Amino acid sequence: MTNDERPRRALLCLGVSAFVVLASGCSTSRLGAARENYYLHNFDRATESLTEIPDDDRNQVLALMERGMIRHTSGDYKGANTDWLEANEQIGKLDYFSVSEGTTSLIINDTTQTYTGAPFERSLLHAFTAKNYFALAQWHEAAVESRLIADGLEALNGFPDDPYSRYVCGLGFELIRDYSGAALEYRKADALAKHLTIDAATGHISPATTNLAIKAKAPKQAAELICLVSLGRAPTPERRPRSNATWGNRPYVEILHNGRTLGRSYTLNTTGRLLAATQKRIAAIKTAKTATRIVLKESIANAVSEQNAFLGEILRLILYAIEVPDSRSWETLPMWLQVARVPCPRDLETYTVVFRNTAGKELKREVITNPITNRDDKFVSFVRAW
Amino acid sequence: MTTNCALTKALVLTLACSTFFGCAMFRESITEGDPLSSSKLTAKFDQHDLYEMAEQIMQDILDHPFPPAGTTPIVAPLGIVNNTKSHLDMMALENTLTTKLLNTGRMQFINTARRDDLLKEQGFQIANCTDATKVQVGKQLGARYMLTGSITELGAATGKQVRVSKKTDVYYQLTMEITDIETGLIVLRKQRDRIRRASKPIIGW
Repeated sequence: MTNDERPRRALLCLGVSAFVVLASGCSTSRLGAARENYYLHNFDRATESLTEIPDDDRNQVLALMERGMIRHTSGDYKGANTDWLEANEQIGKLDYFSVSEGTTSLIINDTTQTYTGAPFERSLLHAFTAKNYFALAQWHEAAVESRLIADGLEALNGFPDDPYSRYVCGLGFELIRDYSGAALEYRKADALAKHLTIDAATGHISPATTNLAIKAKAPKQAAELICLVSLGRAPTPERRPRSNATWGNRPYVEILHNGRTLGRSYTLNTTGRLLAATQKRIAAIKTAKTATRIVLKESIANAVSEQNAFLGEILRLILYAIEVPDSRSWETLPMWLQVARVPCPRDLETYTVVFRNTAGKELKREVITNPITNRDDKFVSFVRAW
Repeated sequence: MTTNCALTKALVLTLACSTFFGCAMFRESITEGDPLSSSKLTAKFDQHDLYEMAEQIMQDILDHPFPPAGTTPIVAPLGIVNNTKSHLDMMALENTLTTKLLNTGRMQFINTARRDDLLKEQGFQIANCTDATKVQVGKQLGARYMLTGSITELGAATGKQVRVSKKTDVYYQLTMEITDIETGLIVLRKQRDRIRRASKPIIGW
């Protein structure tokens, strides 16, 4: 190869790499279209955008997570679980360090790596799968997800633990009458949610600052409604995105039955908090990797510049143009992850949810008839609002 | 000179491809297999375990003096509980086991469709029944005995250390029991255990 050919060849290689990066943008744009339609309440169109997810797509897991959430919100619990179980299977298969992707990401950017979800997204994947099984009254299948949550949260390696996932995990055990397993998880959720008191024996939730925990404890034989509340980042009925700002910092819901207030929800965690803690955990690794990548890019561009100054500058431009941060995440997860555990009538068929912002102002009211499933005297339901 | 070099490279590459991969990888192939002799792909419970454990536990049940000679008791299969970390087809395990036992001619089984209809009428699912409900359903179906069971999984993986592969031990325990519905006494209980170690590389291409 002559000296003149080398820079051209380097440029060609880079052009191919840039093409690969741009081609991968197809799945990113499909994800964007699916999310947009989801927020606009167009569930069919949102699902259509993600109809075909190629096996070799780097964003396959993310697409399955998002498609599952679209189906979950539209009430297709079986369909959602098909997607989420497949996503989980893929995550298991991809549980290794890929040398080729690792090397490519050192030269191009981190989006060239296959997405397998942050640890908190993986535990929430199981938690939401369990919710679908609750809605289908498949208690033992939900308990399988509980075991997987517990397993995953035992090997966090410095990533944030999640009281909400712990609570759903405990609930899964409680509903198959594994009370010792449930108590263990409720105890762990209690230790993580400092602002709340979660009773290990009953799963009852109350603020940590008062003695209401003891006073308001549900009588042992009373029926209970456990409502898993998700707030933020949900579709709006008026088919236009709504700002989360209306909620304030500490929104909550009130549960009513026949006009009588049964209780309220409490925030166990927020995805914002989980994301921030995750980013803090990987900040050092990311910074070191970005610094290495910039050094590599500079070295490549300088090497080409020595042969041909113009091509060197073009190459530098391309190298920096493809330097984009990896901001991939499961975006349709709710902002606030809450639980309301309230006493209720034994013949519960419907209940009303009043969504309130931090100041207590009523934002929305909804009558819930589905999903409500029960085992023994425990009713399980979930709601989601924008 | 450059052309020769490129030609040589192309030739070497083609040769390497044909040597390492062969042309079989480009052809579609279908092979029949025996579930009992198939190789295990992961440490998880698979069709191999399903058939093998069903076979073993059936043999254990047949080796037991129950049922007394000259009798063919009516048994209601009332579910095998999944206590593992995998979504298993418990119905397939129950069907395999009852088919094998039925074919020995030593027991009669209540039709599972009839059982499920009765459960549905009463607002239950087989997987969610309490022991009391199972007894009640068994009686209503006219069975003298009920066949129940559970499968449990315990797993352990190697910790974080310098290594090139991740080892996982998975232990399964299948317990099956036959209970006399009238007396509530367990007349037969059999257990089968198996442990499997899987090794997975933590670095790949």
